[in-house]
Amino acid sequence: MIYLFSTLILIILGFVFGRLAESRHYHSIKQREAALVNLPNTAGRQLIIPMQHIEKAELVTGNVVISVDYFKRIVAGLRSLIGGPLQSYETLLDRARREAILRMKESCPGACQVINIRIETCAIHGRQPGSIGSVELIAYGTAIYGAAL
Amino acid sequence: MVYRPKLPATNNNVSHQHPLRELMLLLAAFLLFLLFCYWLLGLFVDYAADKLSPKLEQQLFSRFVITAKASPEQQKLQQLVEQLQPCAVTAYPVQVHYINDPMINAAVLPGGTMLVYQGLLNSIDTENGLMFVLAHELAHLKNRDHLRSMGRGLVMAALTYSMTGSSQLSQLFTPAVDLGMAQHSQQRERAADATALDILHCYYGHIGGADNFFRSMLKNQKLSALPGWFDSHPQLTERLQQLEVIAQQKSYPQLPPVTLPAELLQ
Repeated sequence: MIYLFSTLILIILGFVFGRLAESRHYHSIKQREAALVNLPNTAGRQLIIPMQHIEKAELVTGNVVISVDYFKRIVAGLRSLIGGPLQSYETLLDRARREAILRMKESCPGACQVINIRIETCAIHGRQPGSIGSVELIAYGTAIYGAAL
Repeated sequence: MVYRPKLPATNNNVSHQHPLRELMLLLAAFLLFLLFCYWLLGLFVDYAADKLSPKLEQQLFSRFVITAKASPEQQKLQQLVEQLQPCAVTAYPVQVHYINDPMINAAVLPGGTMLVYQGLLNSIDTENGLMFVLAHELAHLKNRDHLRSMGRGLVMAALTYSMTGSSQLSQLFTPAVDLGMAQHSQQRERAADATALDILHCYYGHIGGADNFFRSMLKNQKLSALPGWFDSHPQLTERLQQLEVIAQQKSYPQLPPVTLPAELLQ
């Protein structure tokens, strides 16, 4: 009985606080994306803004670690038995990717553009073997400083 | 090429279905599958219970048989059960235990142990009534009901453990499963009642006093407003009705019953 109640309470807590944290994070992400939309960035290796004079080019990174709440874990466990799209993890990874890119952009104030952006994911395993505890995303690219044409 | 910054209008990388809806759908599919497994394994349990040879059953459960504590009541009950044996053929000997407890119950365990409580003896005032209860328990043994309920309980515990990691939860896992178990149990109880009536008729030549226990329980029972879907036994009125129907169908005569033997009179 204790086991069942504690599981239910954890699921409810996970759902309530998870949803709360998620909506707050999305709100922050949207705000910062709107502020940083004017910084050109690309995954390509060529400059997208032609430069008159390049002052410096340096590696910039942004990384974030986001954890799974208990509710998401339970739903993912059921999904792994039945199969199909894992919707509960979609928002998690979407937030992580956008947050990593934002942090990368925020780490180079004054840059003209950021090129050659790559994103890499690393799963940090949970306590139980085979479960995902948290996910780490790193976004890195080259920031170009100088005077645009 | 001019760089024109723009934010996307919608987020295509996430599904916009409510997460609880997904959980409910998954849980429903999962539980349906479990119910199906339980039903299927129940069929296997029934098949195994019917096919298990009595000698093997006795061998398997011999460790559960405890020698009964001798007392005048126990010896008289043992004698009565042995007198019933020609009519209620059980494949192995039955050991009767008398328990001096006010609980109104009688039970039969795998291996051939029968328990009779003092409370039951208090509720019966004729030998025929007592013989009906003893015949009912012997009927359970004959129909291998103890194996069926044990097998089903084991299936339930195994399924619950594989899903939640705790077999203690099997008792409250799903109301639907409880309903299924209760209906199955009620069905077995009706079957045992019917067989017991036949045994009684075989022994006495009539069925007078068979309803002694049910009527006595009916008098003392507090009426419950809830339906008896989840009870392990059918309602008393239903059981009495069934006895009357069978008696009519098979034209069993009703003669005055015999009083309880001296050792069991309290």
